[in-house]
Amino acid sequence: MITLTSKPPSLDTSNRKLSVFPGNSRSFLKRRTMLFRYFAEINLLLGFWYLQWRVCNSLNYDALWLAVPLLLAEIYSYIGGVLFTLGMWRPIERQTKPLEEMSPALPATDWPTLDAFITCYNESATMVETTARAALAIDYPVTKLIVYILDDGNSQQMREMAQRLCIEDLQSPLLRAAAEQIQTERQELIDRLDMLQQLMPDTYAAEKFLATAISHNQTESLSTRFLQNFHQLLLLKEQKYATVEAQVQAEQERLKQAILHKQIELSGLARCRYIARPKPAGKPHHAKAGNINHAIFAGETTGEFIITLDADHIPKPQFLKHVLPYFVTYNSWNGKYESNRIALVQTPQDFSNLPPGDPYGHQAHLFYGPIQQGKDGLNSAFYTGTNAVLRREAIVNTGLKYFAQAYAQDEKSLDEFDLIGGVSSSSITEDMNTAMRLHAAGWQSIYHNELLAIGLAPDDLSSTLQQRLRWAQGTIQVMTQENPLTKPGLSFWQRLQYFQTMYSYFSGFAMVVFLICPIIFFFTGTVPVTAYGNDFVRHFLPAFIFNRVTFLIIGWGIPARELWRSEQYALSLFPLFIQAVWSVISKRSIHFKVTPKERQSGVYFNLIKPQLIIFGFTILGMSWSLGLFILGQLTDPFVYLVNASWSIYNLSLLWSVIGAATWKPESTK
Amino acid sequence: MSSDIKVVRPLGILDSICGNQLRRDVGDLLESKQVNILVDCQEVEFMDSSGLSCLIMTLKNVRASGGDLALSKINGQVRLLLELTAMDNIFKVYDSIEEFSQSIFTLN
Repeated sequence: MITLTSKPPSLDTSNRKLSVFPGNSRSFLKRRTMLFRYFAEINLLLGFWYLQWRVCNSLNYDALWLAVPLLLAEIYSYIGGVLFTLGMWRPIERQTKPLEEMSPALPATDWPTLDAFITCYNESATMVETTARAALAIDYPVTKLIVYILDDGNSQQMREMAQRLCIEDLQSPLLRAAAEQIQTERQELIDRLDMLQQLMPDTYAAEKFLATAISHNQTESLSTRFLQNFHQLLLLKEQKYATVEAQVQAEQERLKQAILHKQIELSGLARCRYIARPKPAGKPHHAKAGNINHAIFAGETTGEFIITLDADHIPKPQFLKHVLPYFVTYNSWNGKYESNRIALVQTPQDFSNLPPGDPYGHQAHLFYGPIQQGKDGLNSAFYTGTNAVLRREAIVNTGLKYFAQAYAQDEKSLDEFDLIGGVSSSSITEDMNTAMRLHAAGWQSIYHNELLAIGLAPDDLSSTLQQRLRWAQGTIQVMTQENPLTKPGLSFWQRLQYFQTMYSYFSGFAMVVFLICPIIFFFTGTVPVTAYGNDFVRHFLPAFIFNRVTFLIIGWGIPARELWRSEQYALSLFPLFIQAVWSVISKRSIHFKVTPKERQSGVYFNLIKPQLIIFGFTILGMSWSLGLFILGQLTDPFVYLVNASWSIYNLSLLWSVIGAATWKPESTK
Repeated sequence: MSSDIKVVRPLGILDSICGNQLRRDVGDLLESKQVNILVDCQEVEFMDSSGLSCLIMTLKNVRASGGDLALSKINGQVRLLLELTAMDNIFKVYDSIEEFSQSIFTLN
């Protein structure tokens, strides 16, 4: 039974009391999913009814040049809504037990090794230091976690910071204890080896003696018989070896290996390491993907799992213990935990530096919440580049397959294997492409809805727009290179999820139509719809209202203000989406003016010219028509009313970017 | 002389740790001259993708210095891994050192 009593927003599953349940993890349908489905179905039916009315009864044949684009934009939006609804059909919530509370217990010695990759480019060393410190402080055995600073900027400051941090870390009590422990174990092994080596000459001699005795049939004496028995007993124990000498030598080899291993472990205690790859001029560097791949293949990193963190994303101590249990499955047939097919676990992104009101619309509780949970329910949780744990075997194994393809086409690609062999480097959104390849290769992904790392968001309009443009371009790029609808290996639902995301980035064209239609009416009186009267209201309003309600149900628990902000940005970034589509299709790179890292105090009107023009014309048009109305020259006030409300809706959506362009922090006012 | 072949014999489980060691060892061999490397996998019980990627890195370095690298005596698991990752096009597999040297000879 679904109750509608409102509860305090809880996006964080850790807030919820962990009830006792068998096994180590469980998942269930997100709360209020039935309610969502109910409304969504009605919404889609009403939308369909409206659309068929638009096609059959209200198309203005006198102004097809306007009517057809509007109809197409409406159909595009409707299909987008259908895809979105399907993608949200089965959102799931998960609960897991932390690593040390798993039952049956997984002994700490069996916990996997981990590499934390902190990717940076030109961030300040102080910022990266905070992140690296937090990564070193993750609650996990110190011998099993190594933090790598992958500095693509190759800065001296960063290198020094990493060294300083490493020494500091080595001096911490935990590390000292660990070092002592390894030293003791190593000493024990050395002592054993010494003893073995001392015993060796006499053992060899005894065996030789026995061999001659047997060959001369002199085994009557008691001591020789005893020796022979003893010899046979030793051989019985290790049947692999024909002689005790071979046995001893194998043991010696094993001990030497083990000592070497302890030595490696000891040097592995230097837990904060710095990697800056060489970036020869004139060769492609493959950006962030290249940075990560270089660390995987040429950076001497060996962890079974990799946690990727952007330079400014500060992990919480419980990160690994809460996420790692997903990667093992208990096999009750042999009583052991075994690796499963989970390739990655993604956790949410949130930001600590958002100004009040979030003018740039960075908050993403809708994506890192219902949307990812919906994807998770259909085994297609997305990887978003940071705050995720990846299984090295999955990344490398899948990467190798694609590398083999690249190699088959051009043997020269071997030269850049260390930059392209793992994480996908063929698009500027390496994260999405990587996840899609993993899914296509049969690996699975999980979305863990608990905030485990907090980062910094771009804090000016310019870098915000640049980030959005990169997402849009990259997503469309992936679509043109590896179309999810035809890519072998993906399930139907995974195809749908990836396609839906890509589809949504084509919205810019539809948005322009929605913005321009009322303006055209104000100045020319041309309308794309023949009936703006009661008939229109009767068909449009129910669909619109149900659409709003459904959206609110999806975003249950997320502040209405944030939902509204995300909607505002979905519309007002239309020039950027169009630009992205155009740049990918025309294969031309977009030159985007890069602004300095520090926030500039100026006003960014130059970045939002198209939005300003539309905004201006809409206001102008409304006033013009209002003037006509006052003069009594307006023929159909009701049509004006419809267009005016439409315009006000448009204006209030567009207002977000204008606000963002003029936004200044309190202190500088 | 280009038919100079060095044999390396990794032991046990060829994973990222063992693979990195192999890469370093071969790197030392490459120090000054062009060398052909035959990786004798007789004693390799198991190889994972990371171990395989270390082999590719080694191959890359060997090729860069003008030599070549091949595998020999691989077990069923390794063969399967090579096939699944389509790496059987990249690595040549020979039964013996003679066969490898023969192929280098004919290539030259």
